[in-house]
Amino acid sequence: MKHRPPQLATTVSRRTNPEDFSRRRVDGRNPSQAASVPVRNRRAGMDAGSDRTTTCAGTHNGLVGSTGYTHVVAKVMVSLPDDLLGVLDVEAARRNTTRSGLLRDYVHEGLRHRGQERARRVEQLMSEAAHHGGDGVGDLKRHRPTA
Amino acid sequence: MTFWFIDASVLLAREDADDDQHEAARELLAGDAILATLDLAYYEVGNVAIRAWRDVRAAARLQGLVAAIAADGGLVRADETLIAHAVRVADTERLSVYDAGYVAGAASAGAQLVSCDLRDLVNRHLAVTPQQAVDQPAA
Repeated sequence: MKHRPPQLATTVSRRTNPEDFSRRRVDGRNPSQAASVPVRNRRAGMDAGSDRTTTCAGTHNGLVGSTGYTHVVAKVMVSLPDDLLGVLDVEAARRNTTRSGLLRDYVHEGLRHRGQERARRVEQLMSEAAHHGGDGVGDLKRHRPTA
Repeated sequence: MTFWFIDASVLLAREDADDDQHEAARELLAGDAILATLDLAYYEVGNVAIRAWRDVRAAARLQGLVAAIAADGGLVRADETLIAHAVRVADTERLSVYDAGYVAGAASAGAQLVSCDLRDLVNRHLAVTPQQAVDQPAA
């Protein structure tokens, strides 16, 4: 696949999928307003490489303003190189689904796979878990540094 | 998909077969939910394994457990903002800054804190136990 530098965010006006135009926004904003909504807020302190987003109640973690979440189905902008977008559209057509539907499936599938990989690694690692008396909380607190 | 933020006590419960929450911690860590923890957990589990249990192999397993969560993108690193938040939580909730660090970490990640610490965290509705977490229907 030919590599191209990432494009600017794919804007609402570039969407060609009828599904994206036919649904009324649940938050009452029109598409041009939606385009100005931040897609996500990177959390301060999260390990590099993680792209998880915040919740709607963004203010509880120090983030201010809209996170783009609507509690139902959010419309977001995703930046993709043109060649990858092309492949996505071909695959969506092949599966008789929409671009959004395919991305949703891939996100679910990717997260599930990642969690399963971690779980497999943990089970392998902890196969020799031992008996230590059952007071982990007490042990933890007793051995924390004190002044 | 549910997002859980686990503190060091949950990791210790996963290692300690005598712990009341051992099976629930095992189930939680074996599931495909999104997990995260604080970098402080590296020190805390190592400290308990070496100082309290005097078990070097347990320390290695527990370090590996934190590393597995980190490899999955779930390690929250303490920084100035998080520590400032932890200090505020410690002050208002009358917690140690260690416990408050996990509360602040969970808040910064937008996740539910899971802990075996009934007295300081669970009974004060700042966390749920591993058993409560696994009993909760999937989102």
